[in-house]
Amino acid sequence: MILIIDLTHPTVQILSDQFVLPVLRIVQKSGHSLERARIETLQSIPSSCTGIIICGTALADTWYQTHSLSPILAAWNGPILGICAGMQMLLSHTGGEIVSRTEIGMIPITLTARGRKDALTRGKEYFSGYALHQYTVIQTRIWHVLARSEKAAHIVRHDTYPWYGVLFHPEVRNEWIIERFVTEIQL
Amino acid sequence: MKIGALISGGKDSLYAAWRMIQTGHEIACFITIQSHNPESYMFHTPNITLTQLQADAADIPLLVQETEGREEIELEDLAAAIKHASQTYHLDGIVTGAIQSVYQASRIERICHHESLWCFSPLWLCDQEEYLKSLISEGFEVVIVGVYAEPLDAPWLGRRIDHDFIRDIHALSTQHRISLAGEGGEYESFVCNAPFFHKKIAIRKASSWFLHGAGGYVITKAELCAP
Repeated sequence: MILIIDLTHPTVQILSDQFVLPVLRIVQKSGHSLERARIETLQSIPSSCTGIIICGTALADTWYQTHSLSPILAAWNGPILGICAGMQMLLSHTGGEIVSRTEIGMIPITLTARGRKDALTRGKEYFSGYALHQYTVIQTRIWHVLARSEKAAHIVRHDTYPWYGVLFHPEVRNEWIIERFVTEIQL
Repeated sequence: MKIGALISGGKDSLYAAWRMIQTGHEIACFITIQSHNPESYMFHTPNITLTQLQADAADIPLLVQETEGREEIELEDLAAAIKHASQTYHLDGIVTGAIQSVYQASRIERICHHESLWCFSPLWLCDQEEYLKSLISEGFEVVIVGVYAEPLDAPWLGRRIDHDFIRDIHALSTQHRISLAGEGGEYESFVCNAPFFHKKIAIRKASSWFLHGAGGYVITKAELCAP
């Protein structure tokens, strides 16, 4: 079972249609069951959970910056994929600094040497990703860069845990990243 | 939030506006870009002048911006329209009917970011069959006013989006590369009634044309009537 975490602004319910439902559909199409929770109301991680995806939100939505990664998520050593704001939350929890850096639209992404070997990204080399963010995170050394654009690291992996961050939105034209995460990334 | 809805007269933009209303937001104005270029990359064109009738039906003010429709320059006209609407109606955000077009979505996102506005696309990457069914179940009355991809032909013009339409377009989509919602420009639509309209639009006179694989349903006379 995949746990989908929604960190869109709680009073702007419509954002879930745009940033959570597309991810949810990709997971369902991959044949996985799922549960959905909001970041601020997450009580526990079900024992059947095999992976967690923290979805992104709108360019203008900075509500997530008022929340840190919940202790429940932080204590989980299983696979986590943080998308855009979700990546920022993961990296800032581990000491990264959120900085202003806007990218909007399709941008070229290139794998690093480490990215060419990682189970999530290998075999893709160059591709375009849909960026929609005005912030990124300066990652600490416990995160390895798997792919980058001209401006920023776009896919990172934690040194110890199977935790990934993707700054662009993989649900747009790069569904393969979510499909690989839910099928190939294990504890 | 006070929202400006970019509308083209077609189903996607008006359904997106309806989703904003359903979730507690106010549509403070409609914004229509009337392009003089029928091949416009950004803006739907068939029967675009009839958005005034839709605005009247919904009792929502309409702001019209004309553009020559040359690529990228039309974006400056769109930016000017959004800025004007934002200042006039004190908007918090813009809603669009984008479903899959990153070309369209990213350009509107940039304009909204520049104007410090929220940008909403509630149909983004939606399940298109479910969306078409929702149009029917929620009371939208939609007619097909343009076809631009084989094998869509003259008999499709003027058709209503109903369960037969969904069955037929679904059958074609599995054989041809046709998006169910027409997001790739395969067909264009016009909304005659919506759940937030106080009156509906009755088409009194229209003519169809079909030539070299493309066709239009041109509404020449339409008026508001009781819902």
